[in-house]
Amino acid sequence: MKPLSVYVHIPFCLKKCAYCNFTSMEASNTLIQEYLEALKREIGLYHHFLEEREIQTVYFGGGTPSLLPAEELLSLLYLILPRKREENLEITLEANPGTIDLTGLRILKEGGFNRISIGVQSLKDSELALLGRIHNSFQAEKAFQLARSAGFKNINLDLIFGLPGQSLGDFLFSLNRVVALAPEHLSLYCLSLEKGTPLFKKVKSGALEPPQDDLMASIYYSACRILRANHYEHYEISNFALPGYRSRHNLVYWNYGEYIGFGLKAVSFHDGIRRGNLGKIEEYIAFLQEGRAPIAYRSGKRGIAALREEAILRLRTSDGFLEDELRKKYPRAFNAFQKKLLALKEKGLLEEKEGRWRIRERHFFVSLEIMSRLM
Amino acid sequence: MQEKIRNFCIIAHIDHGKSTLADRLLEATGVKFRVPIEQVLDQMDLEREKGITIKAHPVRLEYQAKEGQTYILNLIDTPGHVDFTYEVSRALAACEGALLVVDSTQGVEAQTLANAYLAMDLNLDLIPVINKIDLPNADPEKTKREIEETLLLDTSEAILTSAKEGVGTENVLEAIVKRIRPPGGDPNAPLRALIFDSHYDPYKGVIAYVRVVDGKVKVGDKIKMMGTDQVFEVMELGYFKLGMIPKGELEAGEVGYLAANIKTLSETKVGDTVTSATNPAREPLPGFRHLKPMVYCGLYPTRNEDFPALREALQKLSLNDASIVYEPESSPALGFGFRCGFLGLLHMEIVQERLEREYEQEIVATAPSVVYRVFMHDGSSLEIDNPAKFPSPEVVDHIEEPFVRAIIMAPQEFVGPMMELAQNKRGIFKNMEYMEGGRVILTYELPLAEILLDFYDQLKSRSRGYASFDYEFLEYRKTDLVKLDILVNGKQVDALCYILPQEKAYEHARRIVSRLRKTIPKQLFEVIIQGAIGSRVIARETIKPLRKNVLAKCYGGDVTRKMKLLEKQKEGKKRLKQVGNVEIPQEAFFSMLKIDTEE
Repeated sequence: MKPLSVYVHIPFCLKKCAYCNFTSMEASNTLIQEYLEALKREIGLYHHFLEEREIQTVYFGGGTPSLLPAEELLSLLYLILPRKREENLEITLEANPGTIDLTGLRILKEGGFNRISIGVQSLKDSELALLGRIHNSFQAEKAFQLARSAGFKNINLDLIFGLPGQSLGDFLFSLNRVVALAPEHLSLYCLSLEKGTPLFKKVKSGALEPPQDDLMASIYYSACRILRANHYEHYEISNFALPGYRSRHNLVYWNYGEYIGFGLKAVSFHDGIRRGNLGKIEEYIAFLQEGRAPIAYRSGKRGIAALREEAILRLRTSDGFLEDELRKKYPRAFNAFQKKLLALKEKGLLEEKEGRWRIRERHFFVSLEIMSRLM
Repeated sequence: MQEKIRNFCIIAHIDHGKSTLADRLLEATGVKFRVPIEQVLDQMDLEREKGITIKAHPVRLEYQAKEGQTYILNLIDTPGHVDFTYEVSRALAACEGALLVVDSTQGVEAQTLANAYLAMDLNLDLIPVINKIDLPNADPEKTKREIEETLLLDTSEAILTSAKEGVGTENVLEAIVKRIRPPGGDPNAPLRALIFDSHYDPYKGVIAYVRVVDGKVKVGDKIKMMGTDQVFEVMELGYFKLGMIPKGELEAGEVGYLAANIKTLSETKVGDTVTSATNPAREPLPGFRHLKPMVYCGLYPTRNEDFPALREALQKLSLNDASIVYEPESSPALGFGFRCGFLGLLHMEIVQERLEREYEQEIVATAPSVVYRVFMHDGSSLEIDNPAKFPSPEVVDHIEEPFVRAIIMAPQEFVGPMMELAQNKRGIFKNMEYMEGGRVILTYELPLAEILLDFYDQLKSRSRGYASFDYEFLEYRKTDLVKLDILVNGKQVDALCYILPQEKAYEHARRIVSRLRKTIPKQLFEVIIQGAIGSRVIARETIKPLRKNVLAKCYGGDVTRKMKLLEKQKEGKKRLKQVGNVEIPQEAFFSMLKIDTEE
């Protein structure tokens, strides 16, 4: 059976954060119920497809999936995995501090979730307030401990850096405290000011200093050093893991693996086709009420375009890609592409060792600059 | 025959109503317009927009004077701008008289003077015409006094007109007959005809516009160009109405055209004398000069692949404008293009606009340069029209650059700012004259290079539009010039180097270098920008390396967005020019080239 990963999108939050432009909303219970109804129908549409595949990972993301009662989450999970499958599935739940309790976590753990990703973002209360998070640093640390107590042995914490006004010291304060908790996995995101968000508007209006690129780079590379010293592997631009704890689900994205996404605006990629779901919740629900697949677009890439996409995605990881592997997969397109690779190697922007190509860690923070030269 | 001919032209400052008056004269003498357009003589859109006539265009009018006789009046229109001074002077040389049109709301302006001086040098009969008297702010009396003061012309018989309203047209026609002398010249002498303009016809070849001074010419005659010694057989002769009207013969005093299967415009040089190949005149008519371009710039297609199209456009354009010279050049910074020479700034502007509009070329022009004469220590010398080609300072003994004599006319309150401007531009003050009515004529000698970039704009802005300006080439003079190189990570950027006086080098270098720092995007390494004279660095800036360009979060769903982002960044990279290891966006070059030297 061909492997497959599954993503489920829960687009609801108690309160939208000041920097967030993801598909998420503060919604009424009725709307949430209608959405879950629709989501279940959508999963149902792919019942046979799921049966035919060897499901490797399941990921509940959002929004705040941990807002939903544990039973609700499990019922969704069982729709996807109706029968017991192999043991080593990775099943992740995104959770926000302030939305979880020990009982719920225990039920989820019992029910099959074995990885939890907590949106800590910062351990400084002033920064959390600036970000518009609903939790404080105490709740954040407590959330981690709750997850541990509930038996989660694979925990990811998200941190954000590059906040307006944040100094290197401010960030190191959060990072060091997070490292002290010893999570298995850490995601380090650099804040991007997205148009339309309250934070963007504040910076635009001059009320807040925009973060400086040089400072962000210093923070990033300091974090890399600290995490390396604490045995974390920097296995993707924004991701660090203790050995054996890389996020299998996310690796599927970066390694051009196949996945199906359920829910509002979720994206699927399998059998050479990428498709995206509708982004308006009313439409999404209405489509499914009529039993129609809520698809907004489908697109397929072949040849050089697919090769480019795969190579660029893989270059986000520290493993990069194997030349032979891609040459075999794209025999006709590879030669033209190789010229660009060699030119970048010449300039010292790509590393090639024994047929494996990658972007060096010291270039991760300018990786887009390098990738754009592969287009 | 000659007694019944009057050859005249109209000279005026821009917008004083020359073309409108010409239209009225045509109308009044029954020249039927095929289309009722204003200002029929200005053929090109551009001419109309800029309010100037680029191509001189003669027309033959028949006019029955009040005393009953019918006269042939040949109106030879002249180009209205300083760049075409030589062409103007040849057109004037084809006439015996000129209407000097002055706008009565503006008074005498710089070009009024420049053109009137030219006409006086050629001993033309000048008839002052005070135009636009219909306007409420017209002041004909003051205008007359200005003409008398500045040109020492008697204005007691000046004609008041409103060309727009058709007032005074009849008086103008009468004055042409009465006050302009008929052409002289000996109809029985060997042929001498002055070429005062030409255009290219795809079927007939070059059409030379001629004024027959002595003798006559018939279809079938063998003729010789005295400047180039080339011989042709006359295929067609005629005169101009709105189109060309064939006529078997042209004789002394007449104005008309001549076609002789001439393939290129360069074979019929303006100012040359046509004579008979079998019975040549001994002396050519005076005043023939080989015209040399005064201003050069590089023209490059915005997309490298459009180079052949630009070549074709330049070829076609030069068929009708013999004063353009061009040759291919390449610049590491800008790719392949052409070095083009022009008579002056306006000419350059016109050519660029015609290339863009008529030939649909997207072009970029490098900063204009004059032609420098560079004298080496070893006694040899070079003419350099491209700063990038300057020899290294060690071998240069001295440099000469062209100077012009400039007339600036401005209301008295702007004399200070005008003097300041001229001073900034290395001007040498020569003379100042006060006119009645509070205006001042300033005469300066200026390096031509100084008026290439922004002189005119500054003149206008510093005088709130009231100053007018004209110039003529004077001579080459030795000056203290240096070549400023711009280096990016040690590599010279040819398109940015600059010839300028020593004393301005530091400031200019600092400005260019700091402007570049702002326009060159960060690279993955440090970029050092330097301004240098020879090996001496006089300005320096550093661009810190790019440290962040990353897409932090990349969900499965973000792939599309990410690829779009990359696509966009790639687009940006397309127009980057590689200089050494540094990538410089083309826009950066072009914004640099427009750098304001006084900023």
